[in-house]
Amino acid sequence: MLKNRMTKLAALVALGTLGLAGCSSGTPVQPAGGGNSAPGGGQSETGNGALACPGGELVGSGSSAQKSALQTMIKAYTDQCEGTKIEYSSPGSGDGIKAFIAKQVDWAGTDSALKTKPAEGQDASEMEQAAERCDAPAWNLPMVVGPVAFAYNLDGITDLNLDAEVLAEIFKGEITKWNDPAIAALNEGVDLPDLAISVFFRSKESGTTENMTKYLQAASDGAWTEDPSKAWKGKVGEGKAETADVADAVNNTAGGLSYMEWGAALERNLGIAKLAGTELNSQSVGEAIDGAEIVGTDGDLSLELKYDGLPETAYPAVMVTYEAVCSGGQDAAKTALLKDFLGYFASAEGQGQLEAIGYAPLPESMIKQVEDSIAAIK
Amino acid sequence: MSAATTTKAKPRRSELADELLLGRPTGRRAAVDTLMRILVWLAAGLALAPLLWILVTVAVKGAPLTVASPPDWTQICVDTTSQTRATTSACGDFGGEPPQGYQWYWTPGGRYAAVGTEFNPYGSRTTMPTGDDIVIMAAEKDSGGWILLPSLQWWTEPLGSSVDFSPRGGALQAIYGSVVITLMCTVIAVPLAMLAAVFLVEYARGSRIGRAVSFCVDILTGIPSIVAALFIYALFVTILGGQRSAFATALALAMLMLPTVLRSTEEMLKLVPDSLREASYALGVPRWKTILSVVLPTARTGIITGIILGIARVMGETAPLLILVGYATNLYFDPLNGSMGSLPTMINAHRTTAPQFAGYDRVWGAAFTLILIVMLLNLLARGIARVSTLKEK
Repeated sequence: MLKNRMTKLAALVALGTLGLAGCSSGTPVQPAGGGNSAPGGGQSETGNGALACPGGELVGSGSSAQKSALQTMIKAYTDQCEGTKIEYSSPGSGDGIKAFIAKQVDWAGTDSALKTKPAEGQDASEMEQAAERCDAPAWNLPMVVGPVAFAYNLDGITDLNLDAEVLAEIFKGEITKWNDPAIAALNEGVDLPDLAISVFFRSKESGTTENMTKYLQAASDGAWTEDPSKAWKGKVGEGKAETADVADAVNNTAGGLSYMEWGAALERNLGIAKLAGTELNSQSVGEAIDGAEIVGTDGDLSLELKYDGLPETAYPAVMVTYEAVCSGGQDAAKTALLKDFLGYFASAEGQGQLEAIGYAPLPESMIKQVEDSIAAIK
Repeated sequence: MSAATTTKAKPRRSELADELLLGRPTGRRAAVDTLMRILVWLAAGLALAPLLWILVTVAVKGAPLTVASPPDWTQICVDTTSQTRATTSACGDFGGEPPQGYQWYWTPGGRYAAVGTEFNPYGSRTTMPTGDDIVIMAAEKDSGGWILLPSLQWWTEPLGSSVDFSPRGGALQAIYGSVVITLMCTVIAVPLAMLAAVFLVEYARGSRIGRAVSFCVDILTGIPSIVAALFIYALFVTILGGQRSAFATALALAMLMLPTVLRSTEEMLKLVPDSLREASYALGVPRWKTILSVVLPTARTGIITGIILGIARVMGETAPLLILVGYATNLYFDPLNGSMGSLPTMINAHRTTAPQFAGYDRVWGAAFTLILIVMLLNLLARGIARVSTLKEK
């Protein structure tokens, strides 16, 4: 009895599988042969130019805002250097730095440079701890420029304008409805609904949160009073672990609002608010990055972004995300692979693939310095 | 109660119904009887429905990817004024230039939306992808669809450096990792569990120490997997300075498997009749040899069934994997160092992928594979149990 039933069940499953697999509703198209490998292109093979392809294994961890950028970069690099294994996990910048200091990973992806001041209750700063782990100074190398998108979910509203002051008040819980006069004043002619604003934030330590609050503090005329930090200091909202969780929450909640890496909002087709009338696109982001200054010393390339006093056409809420690496003292084979991989990442070919997936390329002037720093890693 | 009354009443009705009118309960009792029957059937249905629902959902969503793979790109026609998908004929010939207001898009993977629905260009290209071995298909149906081509890459290739929206890459690294970790855990747990069970049944039956060990095993049976994982993390990683690795995970899983296998082996050994042992002793066979060649072979099939059920239990555990080993998309062979993929962590690592991308389907594929493996193990255990009962008869 039992045996028969089991066999039937197995057959049923198998049948369903075949049935589903059989219904390919498409016509084969002849791919365009030859040609150059276009950015973001799949399995195209190119001459591997300047790549040394030393091979080996590499593990990184950190920022979830960099996830798609690193996935794309790892794919492009390993397509050219076959047999190389590179892993990147994205639990958030805070966890990534901890794993880097604990020697669990070879490099950390972080949305804000390693701190030079000790955190409360700790003796050594992140920089010092990382230097101790490396037996050499740790360097922050800017690699990915990513705007912070303020994504919302309002049915039928495709054009929404916010500014730092209003956002600060929403995050402090002083503005709770979408049809609040302060929002309405920024959006003349838009029919805002009488709907509660559901704020979502990153519950874990996140570089995106830190960069977003830096922008709020600098641009909100004092409406945002908390110091920028990786942990969320807002008064309202619901916490979600990673970038994708926040984006999903906004996608599934009418009246939802959150801040996230641009690609996450694009992926889900979420509405993206203008900031003080400036739309988010690669040009307006590029203009904001031009104002950045390098404050790191030696090979370290920590940047200081300007959020205030930018031209009106610049999108001010941007972040530069870094790869935190050891400047020396590591296993020679791993260092060679890390240098080769980061070199590809910083190259024009690498950076050129980023725009299609929601990032902005590094400014040309900066690429040179990043390449110099990578070359100086011992 | 009432159900029992009716079954008993059946033979009587055929013989004496006319005379005694005892046939079936009438009036209120009949109503209560019917009501109870309905409730029992309802309860059975309610218990079964979610189980079937889960199985069917996972199979429908996950099975296709294990025997097929989407093309690298799907060519669709998009109405650029409204940013919605248009019928393929609106763009004209596949190779040709579309008319004003329309554009060809190449989206990664095999999923495409229905005509008239909003088109999200993220990850898509406006120029035809190039390359030697890439597969491009054009969307045919006006309703949404999912193009799949027969392929066994799921079982033969690791995910590698595949991006979330690329359909290339299988789950070999996760299947391999799950199998290796489970094997290591079995090798550690099963001998210990069997030795402990032999001790409890053959040497310490009824003694104080036996009862103490039994009590500890009972407590261990209910230990949450996350506690086992934390314990191993503290002991193996923090105190002994070991690496987070597949081996550490196997240790934590062994802690979960040990009591399950121990308990089932113990029950099986208890079932071996004492007369067999006594007969063996009477022939002058020493105790250890009696255990090895009389007691254990007699209980063999039961013990094996218990081991397989223990493996099936451990296979889907997630917490130790999350804490004790990093997830990897490439195939790594060193169990003592570094990361290793596994099916539960593959589900966890890719669950946040947006639903239109191939990475989202992989989550269901991994879930289906996991259920499939556990189901096969259970069937194997049943098979072994059946063979043993047949032999005895």
